[in-house]
Amino acid sequence: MGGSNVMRGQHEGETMRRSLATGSGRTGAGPVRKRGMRIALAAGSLLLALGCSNDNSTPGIPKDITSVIFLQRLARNDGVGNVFDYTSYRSGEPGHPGGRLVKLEPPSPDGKLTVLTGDAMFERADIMAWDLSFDAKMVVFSARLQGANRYHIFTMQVDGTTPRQITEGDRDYIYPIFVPGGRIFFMTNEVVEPGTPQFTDEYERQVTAQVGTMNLDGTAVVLGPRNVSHRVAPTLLPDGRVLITEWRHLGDVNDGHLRIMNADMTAVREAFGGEGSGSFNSYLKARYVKTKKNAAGKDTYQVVTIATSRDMTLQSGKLLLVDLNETEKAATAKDMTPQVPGGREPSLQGVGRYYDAEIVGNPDDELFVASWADGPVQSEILGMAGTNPDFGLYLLNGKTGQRSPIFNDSTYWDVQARPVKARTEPPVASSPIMQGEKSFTIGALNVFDSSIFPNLMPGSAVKVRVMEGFSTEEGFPDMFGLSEFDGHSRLGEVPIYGDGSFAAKVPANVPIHLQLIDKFGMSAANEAVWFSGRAGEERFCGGCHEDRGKATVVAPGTTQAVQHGALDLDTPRAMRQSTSYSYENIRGVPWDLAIQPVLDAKCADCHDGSNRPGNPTYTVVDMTTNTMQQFTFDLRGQKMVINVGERMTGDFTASYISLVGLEMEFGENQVMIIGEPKQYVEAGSAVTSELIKRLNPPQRFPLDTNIRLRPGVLPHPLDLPGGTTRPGGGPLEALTPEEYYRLILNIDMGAQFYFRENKEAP
Amino acid sequence: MSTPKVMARCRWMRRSTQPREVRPMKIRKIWIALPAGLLALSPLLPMNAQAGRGSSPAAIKRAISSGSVDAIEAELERAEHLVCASCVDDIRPLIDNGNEKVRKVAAWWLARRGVRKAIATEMQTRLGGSDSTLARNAADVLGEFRQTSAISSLTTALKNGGLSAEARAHCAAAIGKIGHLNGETALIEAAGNADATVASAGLTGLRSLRGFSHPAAILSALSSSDANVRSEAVYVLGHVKMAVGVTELMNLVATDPSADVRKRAAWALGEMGSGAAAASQTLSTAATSDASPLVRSIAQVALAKLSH
Repeated sequence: MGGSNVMRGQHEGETMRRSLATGSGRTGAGPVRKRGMRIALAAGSLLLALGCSNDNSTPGIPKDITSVIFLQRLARNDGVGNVFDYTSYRSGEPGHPGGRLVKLEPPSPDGKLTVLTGDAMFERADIMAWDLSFDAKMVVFSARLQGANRYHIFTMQVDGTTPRQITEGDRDYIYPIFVPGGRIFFMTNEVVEPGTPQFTDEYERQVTAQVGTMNLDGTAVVLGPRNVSHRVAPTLLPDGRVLITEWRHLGDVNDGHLRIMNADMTAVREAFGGEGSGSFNSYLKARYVKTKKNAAGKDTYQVVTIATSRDMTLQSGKLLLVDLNETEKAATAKDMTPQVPGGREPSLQGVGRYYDAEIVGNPDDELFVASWADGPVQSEILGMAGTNPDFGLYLLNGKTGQRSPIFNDSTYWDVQARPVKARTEPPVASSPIMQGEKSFTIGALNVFDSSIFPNLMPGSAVKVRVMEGFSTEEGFPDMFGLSEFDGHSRLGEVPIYGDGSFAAKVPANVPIHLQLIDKFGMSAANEAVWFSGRAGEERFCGGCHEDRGKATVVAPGTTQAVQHGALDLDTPRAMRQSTSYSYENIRGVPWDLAIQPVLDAKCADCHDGSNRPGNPTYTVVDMTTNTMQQFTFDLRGQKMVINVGERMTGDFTASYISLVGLEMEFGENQVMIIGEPKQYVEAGSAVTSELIKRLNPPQRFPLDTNIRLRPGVLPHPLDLPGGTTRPGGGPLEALTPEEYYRLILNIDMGAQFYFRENKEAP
Repeated sequence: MSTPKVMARCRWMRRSTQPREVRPMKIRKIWIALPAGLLALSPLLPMNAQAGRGSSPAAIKRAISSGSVDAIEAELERAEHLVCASCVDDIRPLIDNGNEKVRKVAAWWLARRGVRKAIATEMQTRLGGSDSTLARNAADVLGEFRQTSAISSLTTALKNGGLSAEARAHCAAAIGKIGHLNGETALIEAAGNADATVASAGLTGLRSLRGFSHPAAILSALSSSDANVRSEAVYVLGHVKMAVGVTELMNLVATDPSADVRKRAAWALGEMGSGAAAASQTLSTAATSDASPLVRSIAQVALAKLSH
């Protein structure tokens, strides 16, 4: 049972509209019915509750929870549909109240509601996230004031007095939380590296948010190492580390997983979502639940998190109970709300979606104060209906699925509830930082110890290729090419020593991508994730994504890589472009500058788009417009206009399209292919690309042209029957080792067309 | 020629290590009153979105018809790689949608199509016309296209007093979005425009230019009669972090009638660090005596930064 009720006098004479759901429901087990009901009736039902409790709290609320603070944001159905929409919340418009922080005491439908952000300066402001200090005396929150374009961080006493603004400027400062040592951890789209634009996201649309910390008064700001895409929704763990949601994007990887880092932004690593530990696209708004012991007797943490699609779900979804188990591979999850959709499809009436949850009471009881909205919480459906999801506060029993109403004001989304209760301040989790060191030092004790490359045999890789990543913010007008890979530049390659170790100094605060390369110079193992570290930070892993649950023994006490010293790959940004396309100097592999000359010299007089053997043809028919275009294999460098399917911009060459392919996504029954197009290049993987197999490169490390990738097979074009003369005259030639390497590097870095070397001048 | 072969998905599509996006429901009409029956058709399977993947012509139409800005943005982002010539007809009208976010995501999608060149030409023609709404929308599109070649026509429109201030402001924003230093002169000129909307947009745009380093050129905007223009000019100085305009900023901290301007001027001085050491006393006074608690707190933060 429940209903909408007009309650007066709950906050200093303010008239408030609350929908008071006094019935209970089961998560996804049936509808929570709402009926109109006067407050007098509600009070009557509450008397029953009072009979079961020593206070006025909603039945089941633990007795030591005397009040909760939560966020009220104006109810809406768009602007925050995407997991990473954190700055587009409309507020302060005429006729719309702003968001506010409120305290409900006791946590019950008729508890006293006090607006904590009642100061005039917060009138019509939006508040997007908040946190309570360890002693429960101070609040930090991110708000966009009326008339302002940016979110900034504010602090105040828990009673709403002494408000202070501690960040300013034309950037957003969001998701603040208290961390040990008198610091605030936050996210911001502020520029991390002076003089270099902050990264845009994988769609090249929004400036990404990164991590930072500062003192409680806003001084001593430190911005952390960058990801190529967004980082949001931090939460503190009892050991002082911070769990965040990080948007991962590298090639086909495209998801929001939980990652963990020290509170000083060092030692970032995976926590949950990858390596088979997760089943959904995004995990966000994780909150600590309890500490458990793993099999080795070590503390490990359980968190509750939202699981959902990246978009259209208003950042709401299932509630998962996740045991982090110290390693991503060992992490496990329990779905507490099995009927709630974990994708972008609309939720059913009576099932709805959860926005967030906070454990209360004995964590073994799995009681949560959760924000939940009934019905189809999905942007498209809500847009059609012209309605908003109505997130209210409920007490959720995670074991039974029982949901009891606490508070719901239909004007607002009632979210991010936290008990007003002191908590133990964890120790400061940090890693040693070498003062005065500008680089980030990386390494591994034995790269062949890997949980994600179990078939990687010792000795099968000879070097580690280190690459930096970026997006189009540097002045690329569109995407980098036709694959999904971010911008890449090779920083260098470092040796893997006999014990499997390597070490390198790389630029701090820059996303790094690693590949283990084999003796042919090809990626034998690609770690499809960006990582980064702070200046002066050293990060040595046991292996290459090794099992972090096991101890690594180093004998006789140090690695060969450490003995040799870390190879310095940290050159100034301005110098991180190819000065030539030789192995030593190559960084980017611009198609028109580094690849096309090779094709022109050695390939294009046969593969010239003419109708002859070696130039296969296929035709694409766009069924929606009945247009068609014939494609013939052509390795010449002329720009190619694609007039079928409306996908291409005409910026790419015939050779690029012939080798990389159109990289289209064809919807059902839209396209017919006549002929058999071949995929010659697999972006990100030279070793599996047909082109490289056919060209049959020689061994690169050490160089030996008598040893080929495919032993006993002549490299193309020397494998052609019936002659060794080119159509235009002169002998057929295989590629040189340098030319092979250019192709291999281009493909391993994503088979893109544009690199720093051929982008438009700044 | 080989036997015709119909493929629902091209084999060029890269192999994925992740489960692919589950296809959207094939539901033409979804009524809010009847969700249960229809929604039962939807797959309750885990989903992994891939950037630019997973849309369909029907899904695009449905998102557009929903009127939901979120849905339209989400669907067009997913349709980044979708081969769909007919979708152009659905999406192209969105560049004249009343919602700026819709206009921009439509332009972003169209920027990845062969039709881009024709649209760019049309938009530049619009900028030469007298219809301010069309010019505003054209500016938004060209900003999303991010072609340096559009700076010239955007600059001309920016100076065209026959267009509304809103349209000219969008031209300035588009130049900023393109981000090329070729737009610097136009934006500096716009920063001095008598219309506050245009001036503010010019100052905002300057902060987006890659390599902008001439903050002295906008100092006159600090004395604008419009508080928003002063604020935007202050942001330019703080953004560049060069010790330029210190005296002017100190005056703003001490005397500006707008608490927002005082607060931001204090912040900008802090961003200059030791280069603004002369502002120490001014900030100290503001930190203790300003009428606004927000100015006081930001002045305290700025004061601490002066020593760095």
